[in-house]
Order: sequence, then C-alpha cells, then structure tokens
Amino acid sequence: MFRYIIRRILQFIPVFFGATFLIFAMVFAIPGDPIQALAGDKPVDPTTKAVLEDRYNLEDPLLEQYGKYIGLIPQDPTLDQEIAGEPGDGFAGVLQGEFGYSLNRRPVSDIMADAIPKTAKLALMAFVFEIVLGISAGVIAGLRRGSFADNLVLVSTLAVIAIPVFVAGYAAQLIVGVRLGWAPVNAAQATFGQLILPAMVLGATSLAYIARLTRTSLNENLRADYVKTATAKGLPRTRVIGRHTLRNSLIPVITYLGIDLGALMGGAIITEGIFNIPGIGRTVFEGIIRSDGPVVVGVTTFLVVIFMISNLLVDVMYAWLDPRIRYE
Amino acid sequence: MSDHLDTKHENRDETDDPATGEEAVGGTGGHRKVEHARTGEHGELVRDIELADASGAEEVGGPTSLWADGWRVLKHKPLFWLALFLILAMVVMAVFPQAYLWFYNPFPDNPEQAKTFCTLSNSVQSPNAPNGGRPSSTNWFGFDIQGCDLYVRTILGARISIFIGVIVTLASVIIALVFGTLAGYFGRSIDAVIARITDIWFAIPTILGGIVLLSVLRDRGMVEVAFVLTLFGWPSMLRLMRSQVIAGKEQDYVTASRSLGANDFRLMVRHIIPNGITPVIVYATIFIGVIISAEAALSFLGVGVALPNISWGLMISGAQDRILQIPQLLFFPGMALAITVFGFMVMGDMLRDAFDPKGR
Repeated sequence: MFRYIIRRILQFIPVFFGATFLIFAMVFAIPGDPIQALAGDKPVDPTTKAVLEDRYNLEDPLLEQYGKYIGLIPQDPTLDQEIAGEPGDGFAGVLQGEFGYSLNRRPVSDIMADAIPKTAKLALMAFVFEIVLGISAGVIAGLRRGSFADNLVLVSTLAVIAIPVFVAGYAAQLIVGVRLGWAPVNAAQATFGQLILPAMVLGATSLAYIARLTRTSLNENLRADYVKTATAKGLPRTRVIGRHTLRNSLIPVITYLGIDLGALMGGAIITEGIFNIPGIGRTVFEGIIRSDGPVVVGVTTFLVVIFMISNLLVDVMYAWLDPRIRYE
Repeated sequence: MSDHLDTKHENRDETDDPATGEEAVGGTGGHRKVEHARTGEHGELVRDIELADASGAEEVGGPTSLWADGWRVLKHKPLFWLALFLILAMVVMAVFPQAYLWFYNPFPDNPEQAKTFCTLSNSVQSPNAPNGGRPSSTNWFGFDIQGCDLYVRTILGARISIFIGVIVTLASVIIALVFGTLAGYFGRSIDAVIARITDIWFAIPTILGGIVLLSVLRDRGMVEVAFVLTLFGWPSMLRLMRSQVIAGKEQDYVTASRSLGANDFRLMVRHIIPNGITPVIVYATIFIGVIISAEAALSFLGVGVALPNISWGLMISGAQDRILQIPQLLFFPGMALAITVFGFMVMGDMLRDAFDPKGR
C-alpha cells in the first residue's frame, strides 16, 4: 500500500505543475496584451498596467514567468521596492499561497482570506447534505430493486441532474424564499440558517449522482460471494448489509466525491453569486461581471489546486479503504 | 437475495447465459482485476456475436447482434421513447426552428413587428406591453425585458445548446478514438506520454478551465465556446476508450487475427474499436447533456457565448435582477434547458441498460 501511495504522490507532482502551467500559459502566453485581455473591454490605466506587468513578470521568458508565479523562482523587486531600495518578496507564488494581483493591485490572497471560510462552510454543508440523503436514497433503491421506490429514485435523480444549478438556485430562491418565505433570499452573513437553502441547491446534483452510484454499487455487491457466505452462515440481514455490503459499496462513492469536488466548485461560483454569499465563488462571479480577469484567474487556479489535492487525498484514502488495490 | 438475481437476469442480454452473467457481476466495483475480467467476459460476448454475424447467422434466423439485442430491450421501455421524443424535438428545434414558428403569430395586429419579434415598447417592464408582457394566447411565453417575444427566443436558443453539445461530444469522441486507441493498443512510451498529458488536463475541471480561458477570449461565439469545452472535456472520454482498448487487445480473437497476419491498423479498426466502443457511445450520449449544462452555466456566468447570440444560459443571465419579479424569464429558458439535458441523460441511461449491462 505504501508503494502505491508514494507512487501516487510522485505522479501528483508533474500533474500539479502541468495543470498550473497550462492555466498560466493560456492566460499569459496568448498573443497580444495579456493584461488588457484580462480586463476585457474595460480600458486599463497605464500605471496599473505597468505595475501588473511587473508583478506578473511579463518581460521574462514564459518559463521564468511561470517559475515566479508558482513560487519556484524568487520574485524580482517590484517597481516600488526598487525605488525604495528594498529587496523583492522572495518566493511568493502559488506554492506560498499567492495567486497574483487584482486590477486594483490588491493581492488575490488578501481578497480570498475572508471569503474562504464562508465557502468552506457552504461546501461542507452541501457535502453533508448530499452524502446523507444521497446514500440513503441509494440504499433504499438498491435494496428494493425494481420497486416503486427504486424507479422513483432513478427518474427523480435524472430530473435533478438535468436542472442546471443556476435554474435550481433561482427557482429555490423564488419558491422557497419569496413565495413561501421559508428561507432567507439573501445569505450575505453566511450564517448556518442562511446557508441551508444554498447548500441544498449546491448539493442537489451530486446528491443525485451519489444516490445512483450507491444503488448500482450496492446492487453489484449484493450478488458477491462474500455476501452469500455471510447470509449462509446465518448473519441477520441488517448485519450482512450494514457491515459487509454497504462498506464495500461505498468505496466507489468516496472516489466519486473527489471528482465531484470539481463540479461543486463550479456550482459554488453560481450558487454564491445567486444567494449573495461573500465566499470565493462570489469573488469569481463578481470578478467576471467587473472584468477583473486577474482575480478570476487567481481564484480559479486556487480552486484547481484544491481540486487536485483533494483528489490525491481521495486516492490515498482509497488505498487505505480497499486493500485489494493492485500492487505494481 | 434471490429476487434481486431474478430481476437482474430479466434485464440482461438474452445471449448471455445466466452463469456467466452471475460471475460477471459478482465482482465488486473498484477492484481493477475483477473489472478487467468482467470487461473481458463482455468482450467475449461481443466476439461471439461478431463471429456469428460474420458467418451469416443473421440471415439464417434469430437476431443475434448486440444491437438487435439492445433494441429488443429498448423498445419495451417507455422512458426510451420519451427520451427519443425529447431529443428529436430538440434537434428539430435546433436545425429547423421554423418548424416551431411558422404557425406562430405573436403580432396579429402589427405585421411589421413580426419581422424582428422584438419591440422595446413590448418589454415586460413597459406599461404598454400586451397583457402586461405576461404569457397570453397570442404571446405564449410573454415578453422579455428587451420586448422580445419569449417563445421565439426560447425556440431559437436551442441551436447553440444542441450544436455545442453535439460538436464538443463528436470532437471528444474523435480525440478519444485516435489517441485513446493508440495509447491503449501500443502501451509503453506512447501510452505513458498520452496518459500523462491526459492526467494533466483531467486535473482541471471543465467549468473552471472554461472560466479561465474564456475570460481572456474577446469574441465568444459558438465556435470558441465549443473549442474551449472540447479542450477541457476530452480527458474522461479518452480514459474510457483507452481502458476499453487495453481490455480488448488481450482477447483471443485479436491474437487469432494477428496470427493470421492482420496488421496493427486492421486489428484496431476491425476488432478492438468496434468491440470496445459501446460504453463510449453510452457515455457520449450522457456527455452531450453534461456539455449542454456546462455551456449554459458558462453563458450564465457571462463567459460563454456573448450577445447577440441567443442562448438559454445567456437569456437567464440577462434576466438575473428581474427573475424574482418576473418568473417567466427564468421558467421558459430554464425548462427548455432542463428538458434537453434530461432527454440526453435518460437516453444514456437506457442505452447503458440495454447495451452495457455490466455498467449498471
């Protein structure tokens, strides 16, 4: 198992640098003026442009730009620091938690600092919601295959998957928030009560996928030899299902949760935008509206890094949960 | 326990004998060796069928091909017909929007307006709008903020969604067919290079990658958005194709064909791809729905197709501040979107049930 884990971590390194380089190159190596492109149609003030070009080291060769952006090469002194005779910031890149600068020359890490806990709270609530309800629905459907409940879960999950997050978000806001008055429409303080409805909207699609996956996986495992053995030796059905079948059935669900995080992040950008939650999703949402490209790119890169790290953790956990992992 | 087995077998391919079927599904998901064996068994099933086909069994009697078996399962499923109907309705809407518009006359009193379907004085916020801009018997879906007839716009919005969904899926399937097959078939260094590149692209979620790249692109039309979605969408398709080829190339019929002198190209095109493509087709159907959803989300966020293109995501995005007061602005494009995605998702589900029983 340790060999698998070490190998997985070693594989992670080129993927990490490859993916962050791709994102960086797509934005900063495009023909023309990257800073102007990041600002969209908005005119950029020449001073801001000079400062940002300096901060993103756009005069250097691409690989060196990337090295400074990712934090493997120390930053040159900025224009201000040069005038004041100070040294540069040293290593200050993605690896050190720096994700570039906004068009207002504010570090993106500063902008994200207050927002991250709110998004984490929303994501955690969505996760709990989708896991608890998703697995329950999947187990009910999986145990009674072909029953009314099974068909109901199958069709309703497809319907939920088909409704895009932003349609579900506005519909929930309109029906639950405005017409019924059961939940606040605006979640600007990001309190637990305010986040319930957005978390449900955010988790709904994943809930549907988890329910389907649990059902399929449970169905397959119920036919496994070890389940027949457990039944044959006289174990009660609850124990056969709870201790033997369910445990193994949930392994693919855990793998899915890692991949799902990517969708959840895309969804959080939309959900936070709709419910006015001051998290990093809303930072991206507003960044797009205000044409603040560097913020959009910085926060999104942060999300991609989180996505990669969580998938690494999921894979390591997978090896720990499933001892049958192939040794190579 | 036993009732689960029974129902399962009812749904399985009839050519698959129960004993094999039981063994095939006996393994747990996630155990790669077992999965490998299962794919193998499925492959053999396909091979038997193909051999039967080749020997002209079809002409002799009973349908034996995988497609005929699948069809026999599908034609009794109401959900399959529902999905087919929804998909066809949406495809016709995308290709021939006139089919939905020729009988529709939103401006009986003013034929001049019918040329554009939009007049600012008809805005749902204007006091002069017919029926207050709300849905009526002449203007079925009402008007939007710009005073455009919402029914007409909803119909015209199908084109971008469907085209992008289909183009991105086709492009991803082609990439997967070429590079996934090469990687899976030749293995070693070719596989190492392709698999590592795929890993890197796979690490960037489609929506997030789309937001980054599209936020620096100026002119965003259908082609640009389709290109970007393909750029971030292909890795999952390639992974699936590659694993199918790896499982397929070990089969006896491939060895047999090779020993008869078939070259690599022939082995891939004649044997390995046809026998491994079914799960890819199933996934591609679902993928169209996923991409349509992604396009709508990007357009909603303001980085997808830009005005004056008509897209459902863009229509909802443009109505953002008014949705709570004027729900029709969300309801009609939102429904169109949900129905389209639902059609492809259900179709994918039905196809998987019929053609790929192990993937259930």
